[in-house]
Amino acid sequence: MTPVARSRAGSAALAAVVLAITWSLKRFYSAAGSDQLQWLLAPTAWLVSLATGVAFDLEPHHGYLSRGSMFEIAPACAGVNFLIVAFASLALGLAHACTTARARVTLLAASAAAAYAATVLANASRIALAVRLHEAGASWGALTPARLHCAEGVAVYFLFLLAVFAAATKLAESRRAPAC
Amino acid sequence: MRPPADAPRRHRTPLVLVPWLVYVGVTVVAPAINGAVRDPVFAAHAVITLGVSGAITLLWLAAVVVVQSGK
Repeated sequence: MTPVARSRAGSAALAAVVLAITWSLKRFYSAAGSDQLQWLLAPTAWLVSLATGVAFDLEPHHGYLSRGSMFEIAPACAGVNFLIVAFASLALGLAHACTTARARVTLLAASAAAAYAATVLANASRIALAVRLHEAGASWGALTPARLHCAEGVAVYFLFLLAVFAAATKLAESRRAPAC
Repeated sequence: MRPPADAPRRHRTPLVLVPWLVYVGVTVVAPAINGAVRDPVFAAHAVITLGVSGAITLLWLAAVVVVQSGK
C-alpha cells in the first residue's frame, strides 16, 4: 500500500469511528433523562449560577430549577447536540493533519476532551444569557421570546464552535510534526 | 513540489465550512430526516438555525479572507 493510500484508509477509518461515536451519543441522548445527563447538567448549572447569581436547585429526575426566576435547566438543555457537533467538527476537520494511527487516536481523545469543555462553557453562556432575556421578557417583532431564545442559542453555540475550531486548527498547525 | 508550509493555507478556507456543515447536519438535516418536518415549530427553528449560523459563517469567512490577504 502506498503512503497516500494508507493515509486515505486511515482517514476513512477515523471518519467511520467518529460517525459511530456520534450515532451512539445520539442514541444515548434520545433515551437519557436528567440523571444520566448529570455529567453535563451539573457543571453547566454551577457555571450559570456563578455567572448570573441565580440559584438552581437539583430536582431529581427533572433537572435544575430556579424557583425565583421560574427557569429550568432540563435534559433538553444539556447541550448533547452541541457536544456531538463540536466533537465531529474537530475530529473530521483536523483528520487531514494526522498521518499515523497514534496521531488519529490522540486526535479523537483531544477532540472529545475539547468538545466536552466547549459544551459546558458554551451551554452555560447560552443559558446565562437566556436567563437574562427571560427575566427581561425580551421579544422583538417576529422574534417572539421562544424564537429569540432559539436565535440566541444558535448564535452562542455557533460562535463557540467556530472559536474552538479555529483555536484547534491553529494549534494543530503550530504543532505540525512528522506525525500530526 | 509544494513547500510543506503552504499546505495548511490551502486547506484553511474550506475547513471553516466543516463546523457549519456538521452543525446544520446535526441540528436541521438529521431531525428533518427523522420526521421533525411535521412539527410546525420546526420550520422556524430551521430558518433561524440556517440564517444565524449562515450569517456568522459568512462573516467568519470574510474575516479569514481579509486576514489571509493581509499576509
